[in-house]
Amino acid sequence: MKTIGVLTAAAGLALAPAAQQQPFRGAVDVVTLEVAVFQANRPVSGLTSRDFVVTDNGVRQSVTAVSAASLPVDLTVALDTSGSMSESIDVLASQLRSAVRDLRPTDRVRLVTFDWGVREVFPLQPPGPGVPFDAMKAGGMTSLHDALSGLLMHARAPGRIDLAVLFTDAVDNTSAMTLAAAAEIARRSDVLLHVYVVRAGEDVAVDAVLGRPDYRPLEDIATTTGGRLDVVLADNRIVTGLGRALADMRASYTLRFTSAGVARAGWHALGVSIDRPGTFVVRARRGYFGE
Amino acid sequence: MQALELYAVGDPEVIRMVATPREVGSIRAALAQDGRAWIRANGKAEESHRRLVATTFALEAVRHAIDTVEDREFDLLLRWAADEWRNEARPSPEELLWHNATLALLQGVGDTTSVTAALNAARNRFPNEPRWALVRGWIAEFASGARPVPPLQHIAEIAPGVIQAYVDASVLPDVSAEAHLHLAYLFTSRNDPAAAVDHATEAARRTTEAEIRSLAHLFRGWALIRAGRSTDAQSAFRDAHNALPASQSAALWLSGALFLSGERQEAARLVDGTMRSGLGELDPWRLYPRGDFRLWPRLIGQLRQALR
Repeated sequence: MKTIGVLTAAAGLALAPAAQQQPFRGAVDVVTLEVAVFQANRPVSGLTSRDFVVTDNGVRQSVTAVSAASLPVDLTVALDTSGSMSESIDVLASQLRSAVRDLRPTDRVRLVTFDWGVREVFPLQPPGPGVPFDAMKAGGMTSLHDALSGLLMHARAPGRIDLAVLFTDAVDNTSAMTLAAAAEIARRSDVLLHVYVVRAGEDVAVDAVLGRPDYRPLEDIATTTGGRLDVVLADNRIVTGLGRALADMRASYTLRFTSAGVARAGWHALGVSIDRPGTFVVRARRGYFGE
Repeated sequence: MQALELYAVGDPEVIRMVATPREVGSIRAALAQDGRAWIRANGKAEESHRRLVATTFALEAVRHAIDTVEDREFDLLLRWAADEWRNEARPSPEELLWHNATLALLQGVGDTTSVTAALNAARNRFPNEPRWALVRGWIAEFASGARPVPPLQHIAEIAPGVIQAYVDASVLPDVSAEAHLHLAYLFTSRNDPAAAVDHATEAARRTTEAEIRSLAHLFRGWALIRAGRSTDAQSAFRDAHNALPASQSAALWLSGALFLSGERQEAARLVDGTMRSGLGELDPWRLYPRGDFRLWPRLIGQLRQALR
């Protein structure tokens, strides 16, 4: 009589007909990906195309690399405004205004909130004093998986980086979409997603007794897109999280290559490494689906 | 009783003013002591109408404070109102409306004990009302742990009484569509996609109500995913979206199916549309675990109308 497990519903969806249009490909054969490179936890700058070794299903590709800092960003901030994240709208709006000060005039920002449902508070627009951050409402249950799915299906504008930064307490209780479906969508998404799990001090104390909740499925979705999951404390979380996400993104590289020497159809596992002495940590999406 | 007088002349603000969580107990005590006298104060001619005023006032007070007040307080207040209806010699359509609204509200809270008590009171007055069969199913389902669960979560075993309650309801024409809808959901959860598709198809065929039709097609889509029929599932999700374009659940599942099959532009357009509409809280899937609570706005609206 009790629930005992979750079937991977999205596996069925994955059997859908082959893609007619390539994920994050500007043209049929051109693949684009954002790559962040770290050494001793610090972003590595000054890399050129020759420093990157990129493999597509194990076959090395010839890439061109440009600094992501040279590309305009479309930033989506997604805020969990459910009752469990109760904080005044004024505080959230104030944090958002501070946090987007680092955006440039060519960048754009939009705000999505989620509680019972997922709502675009305002669409992509240039940053500035007129951005209506205080048009949010709060309260209700949480449709986190719906929000994730919706964000990841966003259409990337040509020549721009599509960055989504999501803040949540990682509780979901009203979604229609499953986490498995969101994970399938992430594998094909053009969006670079960072997730910040917001915890209060008392949550951390409870964790010490009961153990920390398992964020791995959520983390897996973020890392699939080339992003990451971090846990932040509630105070000033938006300034901290957005600051990190933007700094990471500006210090990263946009690589392009024309896939060669591999079959086009199906999943393409991507490998990215650095051809320089030293130990590097490279963060990039794990692959893409071909026609 | 002054609040009742104000409510009787159509001042809805009075509920907000008096029905604070702290005051629900006082309202109950006042109605228990003086409510019947107030109902009868203007003689036989007005008694039935004033009874409707007093019991609807009690119901609205519970709704206003229900998120924070202790279960026992709202239970006792509603029991006072249900007992009061028994003083009517003949059950009326307004009384039926009141019982339906009460049951809708209590299903929204998800308290099976209160729903059971309210159902017993309603059944005593209206023994042949078909809707009670659905409420019985909801109680059995909720008590068994079969709901609420996330979509497509596998339920290994469903208590036989749950299925039987909805099978019984499915032969009653007034509630047949909804009974089939619940069976579609349960058979999807039990990983019996063929039965789920049959029930979902029946549910959609037997009603013109957009919320029920949209949910039926959504559940059919989930069952078809279970059956490995992705293309048919996509078509079912499109039917769900067409039946109720405001449903965010239907829009997201259709978008997901389109996105994964490579139709990314249409998927993105649908997602943008559903996010911009801001109607997520009205989604029938999100209200589904709460049974008849989806009917609450309509029922309380009809009750208020009857008070005029």
